[in-house]
Amino acid sequence: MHELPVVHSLVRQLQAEAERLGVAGRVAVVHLKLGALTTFVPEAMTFYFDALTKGTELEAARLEVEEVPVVGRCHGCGEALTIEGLPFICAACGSAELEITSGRELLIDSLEVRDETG
Amino acid sequence: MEIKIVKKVLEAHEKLAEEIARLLARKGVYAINIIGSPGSGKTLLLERTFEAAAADLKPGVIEGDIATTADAERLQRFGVPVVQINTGPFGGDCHLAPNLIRAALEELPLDDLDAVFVENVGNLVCPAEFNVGENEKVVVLSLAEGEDKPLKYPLAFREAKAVVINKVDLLPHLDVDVAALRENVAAANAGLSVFEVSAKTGEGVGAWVDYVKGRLARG
Repeated sequence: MHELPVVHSLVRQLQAEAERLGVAGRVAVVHLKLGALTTFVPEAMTFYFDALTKGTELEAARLEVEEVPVVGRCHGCGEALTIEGLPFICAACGSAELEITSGRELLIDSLEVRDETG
Repeated sequence: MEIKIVKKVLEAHEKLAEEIARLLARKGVYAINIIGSPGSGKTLLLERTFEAAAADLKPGVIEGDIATTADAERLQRFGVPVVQINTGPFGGDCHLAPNLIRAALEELPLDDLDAVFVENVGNLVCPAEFNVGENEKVVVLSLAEGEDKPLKYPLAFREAKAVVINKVDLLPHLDVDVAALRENVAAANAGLSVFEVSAKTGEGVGAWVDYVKGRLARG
């Protein structure tokens, strides 16, 4: 349920961005990057997105959520690693001293915009 | 045509959290954001903490609940300044957001305090997601919730610095495997400080209180 206020922020931000870029009403696809180590569910995000954009200039826009894997660096051996699941330990040396370098993202990555004529 | 944007959706939240962190640092106040399921014993742990550390802790509390002021009333009995936040009468926000925390901090006498405990809305999911400008998050997990919770809610354990395993007095009545629970805690975050306590009987509370005092001293 906590996707709702987040998607609300997203929609407001998109409206401002589209206005700023002069593409209001022409946004076809919104590409969102979502880290795997967040508690936001992509299906809930797109559901709320469709509900909140109905009747607005973003009504025709589709939200595409791309999951960003959890990537870290081991402080023990310096190895970069992708973490597929628990435990959070380095597959190479077994150390638990990991720094998570990505996987917590919630970013508007890009917008696909229709041509002015189309 | 594709237009590259690359902007954080929660940027406003993050800026506000940083602003709160700076305010707290300026006032010399250490903030602990307490996360746990409903009924895990967050409020009782705070009561025991204030009892045990009455002489050397000047705490304030921000209580987050969807509704009621019951927890704030319990804590006011300890002579501690408490601000209650209700996120909505029939199911409001499931976590405390930084804008609510900033407003609540204005109601606390920060100059007279050395610690602020934020008791978040009972929930292991979304409170883990939001930084409210705290120095650290602490998870309170009651033994009755079972040994699998760190595996099911890894973010909460990943974001925390300590976990308080509460209600250890119930051990004889439960099938929970404490060794497995500790292993699961370590699988989520091997760097966590772990305390086994019973906020009801007071068992183990001393070690937790020493930890809190240590964190405050370190600032």
